[in-house]
Amino acid sequence: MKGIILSEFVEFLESSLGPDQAQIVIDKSGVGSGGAYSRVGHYDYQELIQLLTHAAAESEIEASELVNKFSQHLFMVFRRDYSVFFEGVDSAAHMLSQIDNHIHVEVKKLYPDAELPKFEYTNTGESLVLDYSSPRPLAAVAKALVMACIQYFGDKEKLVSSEISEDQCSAKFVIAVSSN
Amino acid sequence: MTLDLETQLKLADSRTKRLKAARDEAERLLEQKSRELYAANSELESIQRGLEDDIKLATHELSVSNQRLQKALDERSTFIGQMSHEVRTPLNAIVGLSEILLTTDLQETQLDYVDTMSSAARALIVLLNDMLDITKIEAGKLEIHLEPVETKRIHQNIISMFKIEAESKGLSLEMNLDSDMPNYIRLDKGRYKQIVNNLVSNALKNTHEGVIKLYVSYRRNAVSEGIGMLSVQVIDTGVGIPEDQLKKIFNAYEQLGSPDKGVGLGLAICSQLCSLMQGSISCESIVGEGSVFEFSLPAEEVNDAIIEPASNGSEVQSESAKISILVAEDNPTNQKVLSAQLAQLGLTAEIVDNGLLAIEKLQSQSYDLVLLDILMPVMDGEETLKTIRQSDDRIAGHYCVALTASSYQDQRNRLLGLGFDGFLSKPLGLTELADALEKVPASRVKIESSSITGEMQTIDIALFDPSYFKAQFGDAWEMVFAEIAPTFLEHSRKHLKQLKAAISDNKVDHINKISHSIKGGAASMGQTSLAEKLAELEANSDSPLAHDWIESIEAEWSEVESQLQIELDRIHQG
Repeated sequence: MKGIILSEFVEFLESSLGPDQAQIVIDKSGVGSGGAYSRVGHYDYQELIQLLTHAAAESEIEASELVNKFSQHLFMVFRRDYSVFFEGVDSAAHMLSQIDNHIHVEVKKLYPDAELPKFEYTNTGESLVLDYSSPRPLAAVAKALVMACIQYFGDKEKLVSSEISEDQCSAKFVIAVSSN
Repeated sequence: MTLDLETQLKLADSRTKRLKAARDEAERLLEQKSRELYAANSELESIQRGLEDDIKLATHELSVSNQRLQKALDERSTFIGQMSHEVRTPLNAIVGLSEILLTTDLQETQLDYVDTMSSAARALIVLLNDMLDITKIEAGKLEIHLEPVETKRIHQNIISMFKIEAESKGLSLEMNLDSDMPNYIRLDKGRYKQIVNNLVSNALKNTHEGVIKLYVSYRRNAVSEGIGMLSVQVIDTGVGIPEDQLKKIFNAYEQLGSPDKGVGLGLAICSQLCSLMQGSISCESIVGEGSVFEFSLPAEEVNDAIIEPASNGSEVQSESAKISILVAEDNPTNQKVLSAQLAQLGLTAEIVDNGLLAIEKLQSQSYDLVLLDILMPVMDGEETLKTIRQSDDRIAGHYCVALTASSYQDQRNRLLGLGFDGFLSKPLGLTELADALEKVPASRVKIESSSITGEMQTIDIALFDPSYFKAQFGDAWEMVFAEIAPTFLEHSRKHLKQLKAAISDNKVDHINKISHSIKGGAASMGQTSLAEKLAELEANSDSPLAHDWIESIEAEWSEVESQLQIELDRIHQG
């Protein structure tokens, strides 16, 4: 998993729980890297699950709630640091439909060894059907990111259904596209 | 939840260590990425260097082979030039002597033989010239010389050249000049005529009945003033050209490949000349119906005002224009041809064998024209010209024309650059010779004056234009004119005699004063043309050309004199 996800999760923990609580979560989780994440590094995705589990336990906040909050944080980081991908994009459907064909293509150029999830889409005109698949069981994070994206673009679109596979490695999201 | 101080310190320490570890990790990754980039960059540089070396090598190889090819091409060009020189001398004899033979008293069969011989030799010259042209164009040695060309006259000349041939074949030859056509445009006259002549001549050759049309139009450039596109169409009702041949007719080498079907090198030359003049040529044809050849050239309009009055065209010189000619030519055949040709034009020449003998002649006598062969024993043409130009004014001022068997443009330019006044290439045709004689200053004066006299005889009314006097003196002009004209005539007659004497004695000071005096009188009489000629003499009193100018002034004077006299007579009678 790319370091930016993990380093931003630690940032998110520090800002939401405070530096001490964040450190306690890291220490208790016993992650192999010791939580010393660099954006450009590459780490085991399990560490994200470990940190998330311990953060939920430590803070007594629902894991799903934490994932949603983290996704909103991560989306704003993307907006701040990779604004080039937002140029000329005016809706969540537009943004989501260019993940595979544009954003991930550029990521691959910079990090040829990155293992990226797939976001295939079908646009029916009324709705955007997004097929997510990943070697990692992180469909819940994907769903949260989709919702953060919709929220960022002003809640004009709506996630009308999401089917997540049992192994959490794939999902189908249906987004109703606003008519205006 | 509150933490004790010790726990807080421990957490802070862990956090610091974690952040440091993250930073170290980032730096390590960054350095690794930098190294990867450096290695990739080095590889790219090395590939680029390899490519540059390849290009250098290929460029060098190309330049070597290009030089080799250029050398081979130059050698071929020189060879063709020399060969043509060798071929021209005997051809010169055949063309010249058969032309003369045709004018002698021959039996009909003999006439037929000589005529065939003459046209065969002419055809050989055409082929030789075409071959030379192709070689010159391909060697980049042909230069385009633009000059103002009178559009109406040049096309009329072309038409009149082919009229007899067309009539003899029962064909009608039509010309249509666009009404928008400027009077003068800047063109390479010789090369332009070569293209049109070629197209018209081909049309005549390939048409057995019907009509041949020459359409000339000019389209002004919408953006830039004074420039436009000259388009020429030659339309015939001839045999036409099959479609598969159409693509080949402008290609010299394909034409040579099929001598039975080919139309010679003419069209290939037309096409190359068009390209050389930034133009293009095309052809449309239907077998059995006819062909349309069209070419377009960019051309610049010339303001009529800056054109000098044109000379008398290229008609063969009238016998009345006698000029004295000295020829230096070593080849006895060429001597014979040239003197016979001059005799055809009603002229005689003194002929010497080399340049040194010519110089000797010039020391005792002046000539209107000196024709110098370039290759001669003892003293060649160039050396002779040098000696002439370095001699005293009387000898140095001679009008000298080079005579050479090489027609290369660079040869022509080189000779004109050396100080020759003209250039004639052998084999020499009667028309070319007559054209050259027309350009001799002394003869031009005579032709002009004789044509003016001719006009005076046929036109019954006084040519005097009284507008100057009317403007100056209103209704009283006749009275004033009758008062001052006789005085002007009397003084001018006297002064003109003095002026001639001063010129033959070469008294520069006198020439200056007298021409000034007559000029003043002429200006007062409104005779601006005469006054201008005198002003030129006044300004260049020491010029060796004074001899020529006085002839021109005298011609003008005699015209003015008759006009004034007729007008005086009219006033007195009235």
